[in-house]
Amino acid sequence: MTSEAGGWTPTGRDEPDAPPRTGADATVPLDVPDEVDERRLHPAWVITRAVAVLRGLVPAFIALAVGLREWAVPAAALLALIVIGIRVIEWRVTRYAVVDGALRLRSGVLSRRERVVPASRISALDTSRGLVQRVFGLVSLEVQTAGGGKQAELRLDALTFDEAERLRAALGHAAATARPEAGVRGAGAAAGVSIGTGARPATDAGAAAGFAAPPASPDPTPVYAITGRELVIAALTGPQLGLVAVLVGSLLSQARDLLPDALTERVEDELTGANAMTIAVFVVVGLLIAAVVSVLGTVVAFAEFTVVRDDRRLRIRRGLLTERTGTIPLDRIHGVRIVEGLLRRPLGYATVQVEVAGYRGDDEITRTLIPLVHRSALPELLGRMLPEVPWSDDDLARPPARAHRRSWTAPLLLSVLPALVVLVTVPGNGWQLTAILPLLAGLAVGEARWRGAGWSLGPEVLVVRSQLLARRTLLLLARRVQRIDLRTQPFQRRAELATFDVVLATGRHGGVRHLDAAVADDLQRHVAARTSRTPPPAVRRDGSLSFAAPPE
Amino acid sequence: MSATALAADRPPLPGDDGRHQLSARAVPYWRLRLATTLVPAAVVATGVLLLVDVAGGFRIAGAAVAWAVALGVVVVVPPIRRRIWWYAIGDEEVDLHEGLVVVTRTVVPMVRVQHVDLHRGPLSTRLGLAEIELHTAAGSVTIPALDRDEAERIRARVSVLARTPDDL
Repeated sequence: MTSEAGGWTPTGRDEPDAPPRTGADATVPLDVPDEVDERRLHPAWVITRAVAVLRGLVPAFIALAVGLREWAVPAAALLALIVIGIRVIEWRVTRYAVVDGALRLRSGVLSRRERVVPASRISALDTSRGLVQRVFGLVSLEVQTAGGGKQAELRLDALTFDEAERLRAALGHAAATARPEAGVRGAGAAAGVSIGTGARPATDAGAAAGFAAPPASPDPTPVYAITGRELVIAALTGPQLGLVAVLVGSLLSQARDLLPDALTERVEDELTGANAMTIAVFVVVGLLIAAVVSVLGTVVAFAEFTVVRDDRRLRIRRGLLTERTGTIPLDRIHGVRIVEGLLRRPLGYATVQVEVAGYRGDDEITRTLIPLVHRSALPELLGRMLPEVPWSDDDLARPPARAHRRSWTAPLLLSVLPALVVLVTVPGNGWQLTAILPLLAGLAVGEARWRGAGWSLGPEVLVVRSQLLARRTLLLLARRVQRIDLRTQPFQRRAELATFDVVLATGRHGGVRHLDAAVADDLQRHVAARTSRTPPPAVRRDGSLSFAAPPE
Repeated sequence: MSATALAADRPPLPGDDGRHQLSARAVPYWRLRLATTLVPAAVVATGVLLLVDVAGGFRIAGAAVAWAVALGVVVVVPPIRRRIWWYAIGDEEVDLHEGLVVVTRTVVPMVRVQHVDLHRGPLSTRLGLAEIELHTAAGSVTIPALDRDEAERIRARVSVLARTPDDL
């Protein structure tokens, strides 16, 4: 059921509204409405916000219950009533509108606040849906801007799905996703609308062509969708889980009789009677619970992970309880990070994250582009999803052989201090031998760093690989590098080695340790040449550059 | 061609010729700055040693070490830092070389420079010094302790090269 001509009925809009529609379909408005009259959020906003606040007040409720005894329930009810009352008033004064091509949000009870975000500055409109919001069929709309930090610039917390789509259309960010209820199959059906116009952008989009071309009808066929098997493997090999497994293993291996009696007795004394075995059991159970939580957390975060590509953006949808959609503008992608975790690398699996400028960046989950992929399938998949970051699976160049021994030097020297501390503080009876452990850890770190290090520089892409526990391969667009460092410490200078490091606009960096000094110097020159002598206009005009006048 | 083989040519960097040193007054400037933190630290360390209940010999030795370290750093570090520091500002890149134990050569492409700041604190103003800070999307790099005129020249030059609007 499609809407009547020009009408924005809240129900029944099944297909996304791509702005430049040239079809002669009279029932679809030809031009996008550029104004949205002022209105309030959905009343359920009160509930979603109140729930969030009340959840935060749980400790206060417990304190009340302890302190006030029989008055606890009325007091708690009063507190809850006040919270809800404040939210109702806030809801009444919160209004949004699209005026003059800008999103305007008015809010504030005592001090009025008005925020205006011009549509041209909006880099993405993302949505998420929590449990409460699902009950009411609502979404949160998060407005991301180019200069924005980790947080969304502005968020509208309770919109109906149609209202969110309407705002998107008015702000020129029409979604390529169908209604969430329809799921992937629904999105596939909606693709029928665009068959006439759309070639598959993923197959033909060149690096520059995609940015300049007018937005064609989006193709909602996912370029990636996680399978159930991959989700399970991802959950069982997650990074937190590796840590938990190591801890549980080490605890189980240290049964009580291995501990020195003095220590056991002291622990038992401190805990008034509980014996050390019970404590160990509690700790192990706690860690197992942590493991289960981590597995479930991964499943919840990455379930139904799908990526849709149109010629300007990647759209990611994921999540089981809270469904989230994220948008990554292609012209803001500076690179891709392939992470092969401790448990995943032996199995041949990797995770892929994107390096995006001006996107709330630091959360590993929101940066995830591919939650899990087998290494053998990775080049093909990445080539399909992101042809902008061409990657040849060639062998990487390695640091020179003389760097092997030097890789151990610094971590070993750093581990001497903890080893000395252990030697001094731990009582005798052979337990002093544990002083070797920090040294072994130092050696292991040095060896892992040596094994992981590698680089290559293609016409477009600089690849740097490093390893500590996980092996991280950073593919980055050389022309977008912000800064190139060559670092040497005294040991390296003696062996004519140097550390090469590049910094991205995302603030993160990637480097290779212990390259031959001459090679590193050459690499610095070539990357600099690629960055500075081919200034692509897209980079200078990507909206993120707000020039501040120099002070005088 | 393998992706790992670099082209045989060696693209130039501004630092290949025309390296500039910081102002000669950088050394007294850094010495004063270090002294303002290290001398009070040594005073505090001496005070703590006087209050703590240890043998008199240890007190004197500890205080002596604290003062020796503080004065040693003030005397020795600034000249070394200045000897290592150089900068070169070309048309395409800014090239910086700095460090003490870890020595870093930093190249910032000019097209990445978003804006230029010129700082002067009370102390640097008295010594006729200024500091240039170049901001990029990934943080900033600083050229400290420049002669005032030189800093002004750099600011003007980088403003033009980075196509920063230089509206006063």
